[in-house]
Amino acid sequence: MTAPAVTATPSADLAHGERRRFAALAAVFLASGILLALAEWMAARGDGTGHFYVFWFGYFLVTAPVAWLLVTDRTSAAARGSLVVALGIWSLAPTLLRTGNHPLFFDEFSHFRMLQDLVRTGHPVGRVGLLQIGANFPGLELVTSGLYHLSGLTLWISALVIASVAHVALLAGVYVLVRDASRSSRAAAIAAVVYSLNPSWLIFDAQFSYETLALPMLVWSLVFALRGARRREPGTPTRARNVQIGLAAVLIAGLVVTHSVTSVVCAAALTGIALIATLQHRGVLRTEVTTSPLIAWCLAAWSVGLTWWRFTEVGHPLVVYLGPTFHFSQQLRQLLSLFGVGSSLPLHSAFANSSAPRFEIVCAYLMLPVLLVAFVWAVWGLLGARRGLTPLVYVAGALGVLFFASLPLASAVAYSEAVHRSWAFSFLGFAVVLGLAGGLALDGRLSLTVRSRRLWPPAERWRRSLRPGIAACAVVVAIGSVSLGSSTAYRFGGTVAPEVDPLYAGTQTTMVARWFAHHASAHDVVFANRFVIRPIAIASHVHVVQPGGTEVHLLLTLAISTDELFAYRTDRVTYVVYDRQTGKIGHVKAWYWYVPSDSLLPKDARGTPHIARLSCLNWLHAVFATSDYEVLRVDRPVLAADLRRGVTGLIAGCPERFGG
Amino acid sequence: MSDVRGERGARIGVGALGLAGLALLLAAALLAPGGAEGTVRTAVACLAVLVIPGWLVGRLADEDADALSRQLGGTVVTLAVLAVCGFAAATWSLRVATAAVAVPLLVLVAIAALLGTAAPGIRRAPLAPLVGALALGATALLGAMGTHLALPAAPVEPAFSIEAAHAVVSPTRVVVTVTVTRVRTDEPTQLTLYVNLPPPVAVALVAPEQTTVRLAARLPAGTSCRSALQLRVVASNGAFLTPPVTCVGR
Repeated sequence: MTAPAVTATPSADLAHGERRRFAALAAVFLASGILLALAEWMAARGDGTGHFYVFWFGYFLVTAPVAWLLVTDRTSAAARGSLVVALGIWSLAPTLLRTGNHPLFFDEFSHFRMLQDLVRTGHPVGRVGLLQIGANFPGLELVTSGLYHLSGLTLWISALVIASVAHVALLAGVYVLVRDASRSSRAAAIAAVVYSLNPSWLIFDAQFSYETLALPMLVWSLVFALRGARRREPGTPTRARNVQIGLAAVLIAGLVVTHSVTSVVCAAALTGIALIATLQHRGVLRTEVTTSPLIAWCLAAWSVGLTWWRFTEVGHPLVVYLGPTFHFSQQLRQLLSLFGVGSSLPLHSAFANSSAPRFEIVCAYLMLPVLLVAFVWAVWGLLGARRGLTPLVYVAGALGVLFFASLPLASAVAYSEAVHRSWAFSFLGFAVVLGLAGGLALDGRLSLTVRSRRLWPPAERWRRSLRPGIAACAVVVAIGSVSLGSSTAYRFGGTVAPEVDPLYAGTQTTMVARWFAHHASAHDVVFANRFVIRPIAIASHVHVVQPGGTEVHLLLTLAISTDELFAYRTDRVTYVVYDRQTGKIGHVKAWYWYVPSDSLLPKDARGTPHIARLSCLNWLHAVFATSDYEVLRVDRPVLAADLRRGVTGLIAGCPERFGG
Repeated sequence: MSDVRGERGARIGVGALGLAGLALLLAAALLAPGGAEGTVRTAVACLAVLVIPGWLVGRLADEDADALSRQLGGTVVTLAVLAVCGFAAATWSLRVATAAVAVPLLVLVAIAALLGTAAPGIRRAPLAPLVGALALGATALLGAMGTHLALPAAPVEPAFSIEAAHAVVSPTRVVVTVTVTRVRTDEPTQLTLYVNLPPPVAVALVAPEQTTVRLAARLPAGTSCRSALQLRVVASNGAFLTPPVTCVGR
């Protein structure tokens, strides 16, 4: 009877220790959640910069111990996976705190309106004004409407559930991808931590937007594709392989109807994997053959074919949407300007007018050299161990290089948003490369030498100071990437600010949206700036004026002509909404009204709005106003009569007498 | 013997889970929304859409007996199936509603359960890591959302609105009734009525609790409803209304 008791004691202690560790972690997760909410509350009250410090304390309260537990060799593989998923769920808190019970971020309004239309009509809407291209890639809305129809949850809660599941699955996917490639849960955990430092991860890739669903589809299609294409011993049952190939094929198909750019990245990544697998197979790379080229090429062909088909089907809207991003001559111009050749594109500063504290801005700039050093270290180390590398590592390396290649374009106004969005892919490359190299380094299997001089592993006397150094670098990248990835207005609430996304949303936008919900119908067409139109569009069934018309000339040109007013008739505009604060704080930008550049406006229509005429047109009636917004109804018969007579309908002397 | 029994038990387990998935899907499709039945429907549907198909599908492709990758990978595949089937339904002009979701899920669960019962050698995946991860993550979200409810972070912007659907003009008088709403402000303190151009024809002081303001004045000489007439109500901060005119009388 005594023997079992003796042998049971260590396991009982172990279980007790595990329970204590879990309880401590739970307390830390709880405290972190409370601090993040506290930071949001402090920001909304307009508290100076105190909320930044509370936010970062809450952030590192979870990420620091979790990262340490993920990396330490005392943690089991199962616990690592568990912590990665817990980290993924925890990271939903900042976005959920910010959005609450309704869409708030720019893209969320667009996707939510498409979702509303899908649920109302039963079909994805072909054209919507809020997000032209989204209507052609309705995967996110289709999936969300599916949950809505079956569960009876509200539309917004269904949207949050889908976005949350996808966000958590993304981090878990990165973990599994690298675990499969390295057969090491520690390397996989490092990869997951690195991916969680992606600038888009905390806010942008957690919102209800198509990237949020497309990214996990991409990562899991790579997981299943690589598992399916893995070379196996002869005689191994093929059922699992066939299932994995089938799942990869389904995911690729789902991706193609969900997001354009991610489909292209998937096709390119699978083609790259197939190419490397072929080179490995032919002995060109002198590495182990880990992947079947035939299966890899089949999956790549499936992905390329489907993407090509979808892009051809969508056609012109896709060219309009992606065209400016892939304007290579402009990119070349920007790159050459860095070397003093020619002039650069219009630039903007990453932190212009930002309320971010100095330490965040410093970290944002410092993270670039830190990432470069880490990436070079990892690639260098992996090249030394290339015999066992899978094709994924080469593709990941290429994705990582793209991050640095994108930096010269990040400061160009025309490219900065596209560059920011591309970092979700570049960091996938970083995650794989740094995860694998980090795993090898921790196992003592990574070495760097220059002319027979050993650089890594470092000498014993350096090792003690290396760990705090690496931790400090991780802190710099964490702070830098969050502050670079989302503006402070996205991260925290605050006083309402016109033309600042998403701070423009407040009591007044709610008043205007409610007015439209009560008074407007699906036959109405509204012309408004890109901010206030969003709450209106999801509160009512109104249509939004398609971008590209000359409606905005009414607000901006010095003198309005009848030719410019024809847009109101041809686009069947029934309401105009105007923010009287426009132009009072900062310069007026053409893109407030979906005009991509000021240069596309007439010369007399740049910089200053001429709003007095809105109250002086015989075909426009202001029927509702808030402190700052005007809702004007178009009298279409009067407008038509004016245009037939060749007059603008402007009441003589009125603009001059009412404010010029 | 024990291996055989274990494999057989696993097959029975997968079959039972598949049947449960099918039953839950049917229940979700048939239960009514709202009330207690609606709550059951929500729970059942979340299991039927996000958990069971994902587990059954992920299980087929999982060689590491890892519950996390099984569940999350399988769920992402389920979402992809829904996206593809919804897209196909829309392309074939079918209405994307309950049937367009439930039928593909039923087929998916049936296929995954059949393949699962036929697949030998799939190991049991311990659920503890998955449960632990969910518990930790939920704790953080609970702390965040609980605090958020206690300390609401949405700033309330002081604002008012004015509204007038139309103005009534008789041969001699003009009347505009303005509806006022306020949120944490006493504005507008004054409303001014203009007929065509300045000077104003009526000014009304607005009390803080007043919700309806009636502005009435004689029509200025030389103006009538037959001529082009523009009425303008201007608030103290510059907000304005130019309601359409309704002519009454002769």
